[in-house]
Amino acid sequence: MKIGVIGDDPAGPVLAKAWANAGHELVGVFVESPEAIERIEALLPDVPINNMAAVAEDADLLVLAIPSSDLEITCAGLADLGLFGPKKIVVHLSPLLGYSILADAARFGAIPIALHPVMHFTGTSMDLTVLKNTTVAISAPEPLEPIAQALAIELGAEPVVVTEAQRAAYAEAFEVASSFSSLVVKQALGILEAADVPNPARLIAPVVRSAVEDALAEPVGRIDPKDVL
Amino acid sequence: MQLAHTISELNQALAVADAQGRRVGFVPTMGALHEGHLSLIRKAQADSLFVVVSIFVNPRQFGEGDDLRNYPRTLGVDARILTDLGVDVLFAPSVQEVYPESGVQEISAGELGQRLEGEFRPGHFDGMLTVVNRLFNLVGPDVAFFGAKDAQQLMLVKNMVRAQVANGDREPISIVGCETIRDSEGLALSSRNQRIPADQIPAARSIYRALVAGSKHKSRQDCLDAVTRELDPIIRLEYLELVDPETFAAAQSTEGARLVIACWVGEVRLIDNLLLGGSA
Repeated sequence: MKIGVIGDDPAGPVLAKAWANAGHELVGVFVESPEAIERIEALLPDVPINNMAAVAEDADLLVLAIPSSDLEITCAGLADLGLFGPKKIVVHLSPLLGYSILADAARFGAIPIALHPVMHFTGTSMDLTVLKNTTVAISAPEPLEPIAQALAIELGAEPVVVTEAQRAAYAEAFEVASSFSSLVVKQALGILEAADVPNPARLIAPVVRSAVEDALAEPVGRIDPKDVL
Repeated sequence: MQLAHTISELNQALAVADAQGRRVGFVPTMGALHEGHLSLIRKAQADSLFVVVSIFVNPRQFGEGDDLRNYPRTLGVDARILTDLGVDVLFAPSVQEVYPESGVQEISAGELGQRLEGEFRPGHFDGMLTVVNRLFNLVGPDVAFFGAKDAQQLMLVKNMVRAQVANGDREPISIVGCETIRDSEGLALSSRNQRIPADQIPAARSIYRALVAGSKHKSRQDCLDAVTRELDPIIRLEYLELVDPETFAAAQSTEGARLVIACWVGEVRLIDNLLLGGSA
């Protein structure tokens, strides 16, 4: 498939590179910030930087690597330009939203997919290795889920289907897991630092890691984070 | 369609077929699907089977060198095609899933596996049978579909299953060989065709024309000479043989024999064959 990427999110060029390694063709990217342009030049030096409409038009698989808040309006704008047909796949990478946010693309027959690799992106080739060991939350209209799964497998990752109804829970859990865990670790580090203990991070790293591993291995019970803090 | 990436996902999907009492039809592929694969799938669907298609590029059936790396792979595209086709299950396992550290039975292709394709691709058929056997064990099909383009492969799979059933090692699987699908000018469809440069397509198309020219003759030598004459001069021949369709031993007359060829068009290795004597 011809792949195009729109947006400055560092995940965009990394996924594009991984799909290119799996045999797809990269046809163009649209990026704005100097950092994003630099990432493209480093990671995808042969891929032309183009305007948004041209990228959307040329791509069979269009990756929207833009902030969640811009997804709806961008999708609507591209739809108004007549750039979504039944041959296209449109993917967004936000953990916070399902595929419904791409309704304007789907209206014209494009396949809407929410695809969220559960990892932190630096926008460098190092991400490609991490990607191979990560899970990818995918959401798509049920009959089309295999296409989304296949795209995740091509990244070398393990797809996990999150239905549209489960998406709000996924967004909440992702927020809790990513922000609260760093908050709690920082709190512990602060306590040690205040007591002048040298190298606090190194000191508590093992317990932080094992606590997380233990918690992940335990049977699930619902905990309200407000009760813990 | 369901996509199964792991064996446990495959088992869940197969449980559905089992609960519905449906017979399982299996089409093993290495992806990069073309009309030839689709004809196998449509055949399985026409027989009202619960259709499982596997996509697994088997590293063990590629030799040293670049062929494995150059083999086209785009699961995303294939998943779209299979979704449109309404296949029941796409089984797309990882290498680790198919070949765990231990417990995978190695199958030898024996003497037939050493000849023709086997001579030029050492180990190819052992690797092919090993993975087909493994996939048969995982999928447990009632019927399995293979293209006749890979005639020697088809015969080896039939022989393997026959021997296993005779030994009581396996429930019978009906192995169905399906006619080679060709483009409008006779070129046998293959995933490798996408790598043939446009200006060499006419040369590739001379292969089938040459086989047909050979089929017009009775004696072995006349037949082989006619094929060689008709092949485009840029084609580098690897083997050209007239064989018995069961044993693949050399045949003296074209009557009921199979004409088999492997050759290079530029950087791309192609195979084809034609069953002679009317019953193709």
